[in-house]
Amino acid sequence: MIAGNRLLRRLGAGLLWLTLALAALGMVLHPGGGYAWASYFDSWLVRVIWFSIYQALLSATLSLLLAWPFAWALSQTPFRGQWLLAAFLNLAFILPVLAVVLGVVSLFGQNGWVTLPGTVYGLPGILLAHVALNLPFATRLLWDRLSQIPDHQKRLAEVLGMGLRHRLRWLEWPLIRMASGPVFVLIALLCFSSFTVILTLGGGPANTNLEVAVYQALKYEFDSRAAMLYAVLHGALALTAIGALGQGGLLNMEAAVRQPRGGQRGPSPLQWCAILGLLALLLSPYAALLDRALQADWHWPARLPDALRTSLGIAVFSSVCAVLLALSRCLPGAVRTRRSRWLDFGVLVIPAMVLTTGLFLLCLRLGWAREATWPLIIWVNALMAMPLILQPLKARIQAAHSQYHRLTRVLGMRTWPVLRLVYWPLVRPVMLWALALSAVLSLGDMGVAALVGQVDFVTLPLLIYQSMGSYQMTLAAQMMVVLLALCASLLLLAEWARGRYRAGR
Amino acid sequence: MLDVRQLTTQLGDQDFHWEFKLAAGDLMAIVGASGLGKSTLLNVLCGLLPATAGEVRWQGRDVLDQPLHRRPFGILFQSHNLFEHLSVEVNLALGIHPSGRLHEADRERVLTAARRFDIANLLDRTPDRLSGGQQQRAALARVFLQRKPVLLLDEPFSSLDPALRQEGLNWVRDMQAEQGSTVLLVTHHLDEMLPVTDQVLLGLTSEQWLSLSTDEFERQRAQGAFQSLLGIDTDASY
Repeated sequence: MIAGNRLLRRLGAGLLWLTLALAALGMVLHPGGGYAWASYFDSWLVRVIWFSIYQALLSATLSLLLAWPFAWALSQTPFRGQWLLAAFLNLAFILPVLAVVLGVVSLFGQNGWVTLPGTVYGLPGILLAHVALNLPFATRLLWDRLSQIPDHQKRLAEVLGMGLRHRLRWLEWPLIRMASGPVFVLIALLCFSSFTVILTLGGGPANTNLEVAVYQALKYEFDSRAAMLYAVLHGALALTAIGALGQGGLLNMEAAVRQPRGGQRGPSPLQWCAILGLLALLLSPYAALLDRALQADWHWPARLPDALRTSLGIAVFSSVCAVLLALSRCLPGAVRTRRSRWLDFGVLVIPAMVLTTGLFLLCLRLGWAREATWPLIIWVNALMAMPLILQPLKARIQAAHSQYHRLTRVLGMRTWPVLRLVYWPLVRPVMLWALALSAVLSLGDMGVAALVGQVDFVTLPLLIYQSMGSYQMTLAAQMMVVLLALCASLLLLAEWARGRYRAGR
Repeated sequence: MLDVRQLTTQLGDQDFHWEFKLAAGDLMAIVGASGLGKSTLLNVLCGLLPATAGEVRWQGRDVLDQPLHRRPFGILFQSHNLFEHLSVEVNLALGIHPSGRLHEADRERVLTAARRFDIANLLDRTPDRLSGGQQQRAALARVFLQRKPVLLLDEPFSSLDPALRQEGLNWVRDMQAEQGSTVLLVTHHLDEMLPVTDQVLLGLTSEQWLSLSTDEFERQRAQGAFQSLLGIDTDASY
């Protein structure tokens, strides 16, 4: 059995190593052109790097500052139905980035619900969108951490007569401070690698980050040398930040997937305030988006069916690839080596656009750019989704392994029966969830498709982006409602299947 | 005859060493303080842990070079003897073929074993919907279907109440009578087991084990021997 597991593990690892190697090769063999190397290191590049870091730090700080009070209030006592709020926070994190962007524009842009002193395009819009995207995530992680305060410590605090303020000072603040570091690093990294938000809300060359610079170099200037340089710089900066700040903040959706234990009582008044405040903050962009969509009759562009087909096709294939890849990464058997841990780490932290750039440059070099569009988009989307679904699958497979590995060995069960009879029934309840999550992530992706796709290649997010570019905001909002409905249906389907499975047992 | 000669293994920095013989069809109780290697012995015999030296012969043939599932041993652990998410029927089927896929004749065998252990009406249930006693019978039925000549029982009934423990032991005795099984049983309830035991393997240290016939053991114990050894954690498994 171990040998079979090892083979499957090696197959998955081999594909990941091959991807990293091919991306690196693409960087080295990039199809020439461009200017002298020294000419790229100008004041513009310095400004791009500065802006990449500056907006990321600012976005992470704002998200965290806002998340603190919400997480603190929510964690005071477990309340009935808190899983629903937790599920909503998880959902808000994985919905298409472009939906938030469009929501922010509908809310704060021209003819929006709220009038900003200046324009929404530029740093204000970028910060608003990043906060809307990351606030639920930060709140969820901090809430989860604070909920782990042991009951005996809470009892002790009560015995000692600590009120809210003292409990915060002695019990909760040390935990918040400890958890905030990793969460900050994580959000800063996500914002550092932000593409869609900066591209759509940046509002001009003054507000460009490295990812957008790669895109512009490849798509507008046809300068592959510049694209390679920016991508390498981007990857190097991200890795340096993680190396300097530690791996503690790495994305661990296991916490986010775990349903917190609910309490018997309803939320306290303080918790009601937090819940309503959070919902108002997070739902208002979507409400504004829906309002914008309903302002005119629904007219569908001729390319919509084509875009839908392409998006769904990519979502189906990439989610299957992501799940298979994740399964191969969590099969027990061989002792996990340092190299294997580095591989998982590498896939998690190397920005997808850097990988995409490397692979795309290689395809350009080989003259396969058009043929490779689909496989490239599917594969990179699968790689992006894989770390998010890995932990729940891994937790189940490892639990099954530790409980049953002796039994499977004494019964002489080989790889296939073990996969079929032991692991599969245990991962099946999360399998549809994993497929749906990966599919939703792929459906919402714009960056990879924008970079790799040719002029005639269109996905639903790309079509929406094109409508935004031609100031057809209502049409964009209407198509976004379609995309959101698709994502929501997929996630509901996964929840329904999970519920049905539980009921059937 | 089960012939264990200078069988040795090492776990961390602790060495274990066993030597004994057991006639085919006999039942041997393995007793001693915690940490001396009672469960380790069963794990080495069945192949879950490697032996570093020595021989284990069953009916004259060395079994240590055989793969785990070809050895003549069926084993029941303290817990996790059944796959909790699979039906009792599939759990039993795995005793016949490790793929879990059965022919019609095999299905008949599963049903016969289920009837034999009084669980025929529970075949479609998962183990979490069975009582402790029913789970114990399902695990025994699977071992029964494996038709292994030697049963290694690593306190499989220790978490049950005395009545169910006695019932479990009776089922083992029935199997022994029917299949002629040889049984090695780790126990902390020696007094309950002695009436049905032919031989006792008593751990003095992890490297020193005393193998005695039950009569000899009782005679020596009546004279005051082993008190300090058997006094240790007699109730530990509760």
